[in-house]
Amino acid sequence: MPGDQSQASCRDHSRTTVSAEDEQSLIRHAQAGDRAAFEALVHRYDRDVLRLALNVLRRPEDARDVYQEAFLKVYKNLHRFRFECSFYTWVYRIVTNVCLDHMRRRHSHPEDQAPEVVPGGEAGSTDFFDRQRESRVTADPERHLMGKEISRHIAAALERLSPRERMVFEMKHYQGLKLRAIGEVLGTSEETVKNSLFRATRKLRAQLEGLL
Amino acid sequence: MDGPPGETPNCQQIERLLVFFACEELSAEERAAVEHHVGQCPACAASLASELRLQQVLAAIGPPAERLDPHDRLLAQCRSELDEALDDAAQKPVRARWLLPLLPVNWFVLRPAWSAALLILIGIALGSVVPQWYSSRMTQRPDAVTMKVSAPPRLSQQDLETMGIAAINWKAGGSFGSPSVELHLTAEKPMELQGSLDDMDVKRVLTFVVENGQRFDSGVRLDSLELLRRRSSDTEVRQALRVAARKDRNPGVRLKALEALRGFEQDDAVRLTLLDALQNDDCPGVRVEAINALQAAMRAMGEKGISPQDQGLVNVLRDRMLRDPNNYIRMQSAAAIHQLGPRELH
Repeated sequence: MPGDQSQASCRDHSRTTVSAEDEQSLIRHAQAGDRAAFEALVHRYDRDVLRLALNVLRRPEDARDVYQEAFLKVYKNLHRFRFECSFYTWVYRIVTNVCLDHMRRRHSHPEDQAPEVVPGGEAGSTDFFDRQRESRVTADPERHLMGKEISRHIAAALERLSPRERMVFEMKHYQGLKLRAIGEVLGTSEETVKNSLFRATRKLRAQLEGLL
Repeated sequence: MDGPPGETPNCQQIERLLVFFACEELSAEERAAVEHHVGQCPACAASLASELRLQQVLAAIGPPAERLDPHDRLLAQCRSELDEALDDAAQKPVRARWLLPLLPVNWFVLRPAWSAALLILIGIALGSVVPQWYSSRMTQRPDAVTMKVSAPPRLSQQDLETMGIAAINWKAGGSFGSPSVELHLTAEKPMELQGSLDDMDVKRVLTFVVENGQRFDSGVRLDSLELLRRRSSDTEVRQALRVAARKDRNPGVRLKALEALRGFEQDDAVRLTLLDALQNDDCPGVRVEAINALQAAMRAMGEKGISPQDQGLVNVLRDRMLRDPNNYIRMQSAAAIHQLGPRELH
């Protein structure tokens, strides 16, 4: 939708014009060894980074490992950043690589892993529909159960995706990134990202057959 | 689009485009082709409906991170751990060069039982001696002042503007359920304020911190908000919360400030803050909190009917419904407009 795109780009543009110089100065100070500047940079991005790791890995302890590993890599390699791409893209490239490594390790050693936190599982209280305030007096238990059922199916279907498909799917649907931006972060073409998203969505729809 | 240019795409080609149609990643030309085809092909129309339902379900369930770390506690832990790791990373080269050869590591490894006993003794000695030494040192310091706060306020505006905050501590269950607060201020003269949230100086310091976020670190700002949320009924506190919700550079702080304003959506100023956050905040989490709070306000307003000045609310909701990049916000904005009913939309 063109309107949406222009809105999104306006939002991005205003954000970059307001803070680009500020950010560049922070990066240069951090590269010169200023710890406070580095922490300021971390605080700009770390909430989104942790959210990405949580969305993809769904285990707080894994997300915490990714956060730590990724930002230590950023810290150790900051002197190599040459302003050839945005700092956001550079940081996300590191983070997604660390996440992908974690997922691949998990695929190759599933016996070493703690069970994944499945939203909508037996705990129930973490389910989306549980967290919503009931606006009507007549709650709809059927819809509630269906919501849990769908949450479980989605979590199970996402587990079956390849690490890259899962990463693309999460970045598109939960981080709201455009396919081109996802391609930049993952260091691949938009067409490859499209193929991954198409396959992931098809698998998900197959898993949810009859529920949608 | 696949296939020769100018040729009408077939169902197989359209099937592939439906995924990207639903998540708004098609060019205008591809979009028009899909719309044209779907208008004539019931099978593809059904596929598109299923695709859109999937999008709606994903938006309704929301990202797992919202459930796994709703209050940013994990984020706070991660930040602390990263700080420690960075300390280690910065000190390691020095330590490796100078200190490592002097440490009795090999001795400990070879005599584990003796090492454990020695470490326990050292721990006991430190645990009993250090607190006594520290408290005696603190009481002997001529510049450290412990002040029981009572009216009239003792802090001047200049004190506020030059102070730093070393720590904020509180204990639940003071007078009338109000927590007992300790503020450790660093200024020319270190100072410790003790009192409840009703004490003027305590309140002034906390509101000053959240209104002037650029001067204090985010941990201090979050602690101040945690305390102030218990006094959201106070107009001055709400004013400070509103400033933090819109001006603080940290989205976690902005989010917490909005959460603290929950229950006061009937206040016009609070509603304006929520609208501003919904329309202009970069962080989707903050916008989600804003739309949820606005919906709560509208449910309450629904009993009295919408007032003419709330046309601004309708305009913002309509704008978000069409333009917000976040699916959940678009859907909730649409639901809110639906809730208002057709008569308010004109």
